[in-house]
Amino acid sequence: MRNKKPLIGLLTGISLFVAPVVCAADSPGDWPLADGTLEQAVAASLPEQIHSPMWLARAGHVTEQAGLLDMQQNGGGERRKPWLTGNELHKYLGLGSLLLGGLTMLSAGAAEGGEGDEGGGENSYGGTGYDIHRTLALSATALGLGAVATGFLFHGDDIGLESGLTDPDNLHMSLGLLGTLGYVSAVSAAPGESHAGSGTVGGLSMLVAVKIAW
Amino acid sequence: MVWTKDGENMNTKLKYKGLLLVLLGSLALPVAADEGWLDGLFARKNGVAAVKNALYQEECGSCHFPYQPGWLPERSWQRLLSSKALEDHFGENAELDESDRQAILDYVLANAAEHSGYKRSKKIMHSLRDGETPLRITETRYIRRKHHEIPRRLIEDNPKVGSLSNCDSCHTEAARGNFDEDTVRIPGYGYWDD
Repeated sequence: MRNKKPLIGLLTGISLFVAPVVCAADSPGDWPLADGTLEQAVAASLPEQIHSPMWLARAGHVTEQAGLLDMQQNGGGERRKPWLTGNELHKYLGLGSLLLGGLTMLSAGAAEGGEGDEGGGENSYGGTGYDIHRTLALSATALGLGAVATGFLFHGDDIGLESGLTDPDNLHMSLGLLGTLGYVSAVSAAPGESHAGSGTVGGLSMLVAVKIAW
Repeated sequence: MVWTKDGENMNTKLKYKGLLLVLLGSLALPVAADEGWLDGLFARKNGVAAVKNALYQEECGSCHFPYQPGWLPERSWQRLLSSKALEDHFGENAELDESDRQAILDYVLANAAEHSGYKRSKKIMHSLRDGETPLRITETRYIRRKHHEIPRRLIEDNPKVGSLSNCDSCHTEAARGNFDEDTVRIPGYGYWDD
């Protein structure tokens, strides 16, 4: 039963990651305003004087209206940078995933030879060393999935096959995705089976992905 | 090694404290990187290379933002900085002493987009079609795509900006070659996120 928990966590993470990507891919330019529901809601909430045809004339004017709303709420002042931007969130998740991936690798030795003896056979798994290794691996994977999801959400417009695979953003996306898949594969195979290979490949891919965008 | 019950608990506590320290460290590292404290170790190359030529800075920067050479390919700079072209540089006479012109040309050609390892220079090169020779940075597909969501009223109709070519009106760290969206502040509007 103990080994089911990470799998459930991973599946939840994957579905959290897949859902926004599918939505974004469905309507890349306008997501999440594709059906105009939010657009209409924002327009309805605006003061009377800006319900002019000029304001409502073209698609995409919600951004202007939202900006105006922000300025009104700030008492006419300029929009302030939020304490955490999407760009920063993506960056921190990616760097955190890389760092925790490295620490997972370093803690691998401590994970073996514990007291729990879950694996049977030659290697045994359990004890604090194993718990640390497991926690680090799951955290690295979760942060990696978060980095991939926020990458698609906040930088999806920088990705495109028309620029070729050697485009820096395409390379960053491909390697980041490969790195996270390596983490997922390693966590799914652990413990007992040989999972160090996919974990290491994942970590190296993540390292190069981060370096490209650095 | 044999551990007593108390010794084992102590060992476990120490390991968890160690893990806590590591996790706190993992939070501190990205912040340190973001603040630029690690720039000496890991030089960031996600923008364009900053201008480091005093003559270019002085001669070109006295009239307009001194655009980093990494924004255009060699062939564009060659056309822009020919003696003939400088006589009518977007409607202005920008003639230079021949020695200065040659020195500036040498500098920009050596640092043109195709010779740069910086991300946005690479993005520019990937966005150009074969043989395309843009004379305005703002006409490149990459720059147009990156700005297409910004309404006209915030740029052309904004008296504090006026044109996309006034990079440093909104990109607060443009001179350093940093064009991250987090550094954008549109005058009269504020923080912009796309």
